[in-house]
Amino acid sequence: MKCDQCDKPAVVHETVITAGVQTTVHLCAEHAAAQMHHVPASAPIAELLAAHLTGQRHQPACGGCGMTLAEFRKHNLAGCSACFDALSPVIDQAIQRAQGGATAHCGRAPARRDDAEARQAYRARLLNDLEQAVAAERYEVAAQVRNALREVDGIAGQQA
Amino acid sequence: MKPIENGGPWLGPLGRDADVVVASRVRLARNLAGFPFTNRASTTQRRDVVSMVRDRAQGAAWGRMLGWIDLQACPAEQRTQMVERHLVSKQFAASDAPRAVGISADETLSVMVNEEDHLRIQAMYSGLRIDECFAAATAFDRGAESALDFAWHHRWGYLTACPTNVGCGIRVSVMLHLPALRLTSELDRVRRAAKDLHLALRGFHGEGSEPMGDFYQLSNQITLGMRDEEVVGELRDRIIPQVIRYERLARETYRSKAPAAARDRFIRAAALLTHSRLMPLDEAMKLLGRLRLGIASGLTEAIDSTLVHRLLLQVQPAHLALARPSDPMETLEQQSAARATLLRDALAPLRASIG
Repeated sequence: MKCDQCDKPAVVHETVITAGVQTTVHLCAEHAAAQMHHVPASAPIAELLAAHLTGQRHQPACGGCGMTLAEFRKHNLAGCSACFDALSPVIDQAIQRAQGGATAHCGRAPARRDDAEARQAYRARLLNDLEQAVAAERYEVAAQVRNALREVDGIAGQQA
Repeated sequence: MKPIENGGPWLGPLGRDADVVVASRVRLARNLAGFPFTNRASTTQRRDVVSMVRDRAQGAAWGRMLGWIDLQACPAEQRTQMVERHLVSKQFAASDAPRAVGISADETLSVMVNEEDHLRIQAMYSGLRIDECFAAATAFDRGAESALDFAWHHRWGYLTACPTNVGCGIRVSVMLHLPALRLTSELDRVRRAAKDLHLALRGFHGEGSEPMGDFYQLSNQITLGMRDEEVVGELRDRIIPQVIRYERLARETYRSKAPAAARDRFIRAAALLTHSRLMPLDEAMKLLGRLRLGIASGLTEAIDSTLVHRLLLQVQPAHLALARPSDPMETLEQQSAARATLLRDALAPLRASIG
């Protein structure tokens, strides 16, 4: 089956009830992700999508600190690091709203990161930043990104 | 804490653009990985966070310069003094949970532990010295992250309790004196422009405070998708110089349109400050603001802005009690009387000069 919004194969099939009307949606990974704004790889996509489209059939609580969506909405404060994945996509939207639409961090990362996966993600983002900076002819920014990349790769010393 | 004559980060040299800029500040928000944020942490966890940060800082070159104050064991008056000196936030001073603040001897660096975030690293200098603030805060931050694991997310960067601080966790604020922009009704335009640029224009004591004496804090609101250097650079090179230009232009306009009124405002403020027997806080702030404008406009050479800055601090209730320990302060009237005496004494040279 194809995605409702493009020709790619649908990987998400979900029956949702919006305003009392039952519909079934079929979405490819990309469109599902787009509607969610951000889908953490570990989160069950169908469940998140259903919660999103039907207006909280579930109230996901953060496994780290027990924060619920309602509590987060009330105080606009996350309770722990795990909230940032557990309360997605609601927290993603709150962040983007507060941050003038910005969608991801760029810049410095803690030096002590030994999490290889996070480092790879950071590296990928830097490469993307570099591409955009070069395309926009923002060479000063590009130079900064290149420096950050060197830092990540730990080759700054060798090239200096 | 040291007597005010020896310390206070914004009592230092005035530096350039001192006619408009009072002080600069850079604050970094950080949290420890493995602990819930302050709002979800138990009393024990909060205590653990305090001892972990304090112990690691005390034993290392990057943190040894801080002297630590346990807020739970700290008398209310001293807590208020720290708020008045902008070393800690009001909420932080008022909470009753385990929390502590580390302050460097010259008070330019302070680190609140268990504020809204586990660490709030803050560097403050008098005048327009954003770069120095940034360097001092960053030096501590880099040192700290060699000994502590900061909460971090591959997409959101440094994690903070409030979405407004996520990313690089930086807030750059500059305290500005903008009397002429208000007098010429241009302040609303500045406020709107600031909002469009994702900046906040706040009162004397920052978030949630009222403007007093035409002193405002201008700070960035965006911490995501911009490098901290970019946030600093934009305020330093683009925004602050422009606000300074606007304020100077407004001062020129006001002076050239109504030179007698400008002088009269200054003389009246000086007269009230040097003769009153009762001086409420808000009036003192307002009049000191007018005095500062008069000094910047060359209307007197009897005193300089450094004295005004010191008085801005000393007229605050807790510092007033510190400056005049033998005066009774139980009632507002007694406070007003002590404040009036303090101002009359300190501004004696001004009194002589205005005749």
